Amino acid sequence: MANPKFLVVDDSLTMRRIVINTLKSIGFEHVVEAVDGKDAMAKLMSEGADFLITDWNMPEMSGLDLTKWVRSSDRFADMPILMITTRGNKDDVIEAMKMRVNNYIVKPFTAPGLKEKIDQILKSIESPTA
Amino acid sequence: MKSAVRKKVELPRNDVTPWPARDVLDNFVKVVAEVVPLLDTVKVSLQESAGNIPKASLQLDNVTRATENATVEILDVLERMTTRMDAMSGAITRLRESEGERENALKRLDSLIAEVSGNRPGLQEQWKAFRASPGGHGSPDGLETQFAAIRADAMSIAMALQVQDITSQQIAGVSQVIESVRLRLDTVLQAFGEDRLALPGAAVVVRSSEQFNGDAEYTRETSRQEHADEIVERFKKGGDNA
Repeated sequence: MANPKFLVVDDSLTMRRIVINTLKSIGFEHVVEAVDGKDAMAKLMSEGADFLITDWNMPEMSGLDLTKWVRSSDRFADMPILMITTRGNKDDVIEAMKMRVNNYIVKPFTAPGLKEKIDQILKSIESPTA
Repeated sequence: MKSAVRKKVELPRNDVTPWPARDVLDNFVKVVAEVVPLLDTVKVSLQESAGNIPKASLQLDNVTRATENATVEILDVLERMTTRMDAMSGAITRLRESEGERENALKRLDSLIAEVSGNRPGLQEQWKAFRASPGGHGSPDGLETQFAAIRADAMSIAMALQVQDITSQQIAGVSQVIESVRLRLDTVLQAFGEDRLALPGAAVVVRSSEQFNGDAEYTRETSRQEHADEIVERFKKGGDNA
């Protein structure tokens, strides 16, 4: 997937800025943002995206519910999803994986860590058996 | 009961109540008479304490907002710095390209000056001095290294600012606890009298527990991410209830 369009979802303005700046620093310039799951749904329907990066705890609609919606939609079911959250418990990670997020990052994240996870996901899409 | 106590009713001595029971009853009435004013004092104290809670919630909310505003300002500065670093890197690249042309020109001058300096011995010496000076060569490599280091430092600062999001969630957890205490105090205070005692409501909208993680941690240790990675890998391989 060349030059994917990222949708960054987090109710924290600080985190959205940091994630977006980090994406740009690692070469991903095409980024849009949403303030919660409900806003993300609307942005996906109106503008589309190729890659979803979402927080978990948000008002209106959580990242987990957003993931559930994405996976159940016809149009976005196969969209890569990376969850970035403060939740680091085993049960939380498993719950997210059961919702079929592609990978999981615990805040605070690092730029190399974000790049590694994105690269892994993109590679797995291009080579499903990888 | 309360009005009877306030009047400090004493049992008449000429009734049929047995003498020891009368003493007990008298003492009981006296104790209750002393306790009721204390209860009033406790009630007032609880009211005052509970009344301060909304102010505390508001102050916590203000802290979150202020730190978010300050964090965004810092991110703005960092972005401007990064933009300037990128612009200077571009200028360095163009300088390097022009440096190549400049060095070729200087080498041609080396040859020319060597040819003409036979009649002008001082010229060769001056030219050598110039070529030995920093301006006589000049490489931008050192500057680019410095710019890269500054860019990396700016990125480190930006990543550290994640602490604002994490602490705001911790504060939201505290606010929720404070609000639950306020509601409990409200219930206790209502038990003191027939009239519902109106307490000031929460000064801010307390976020529901789904909207924040009160157990959020800020740590630079990698163990939490490593732990999550292990769980993910195990899940993908069919373990942990996959």
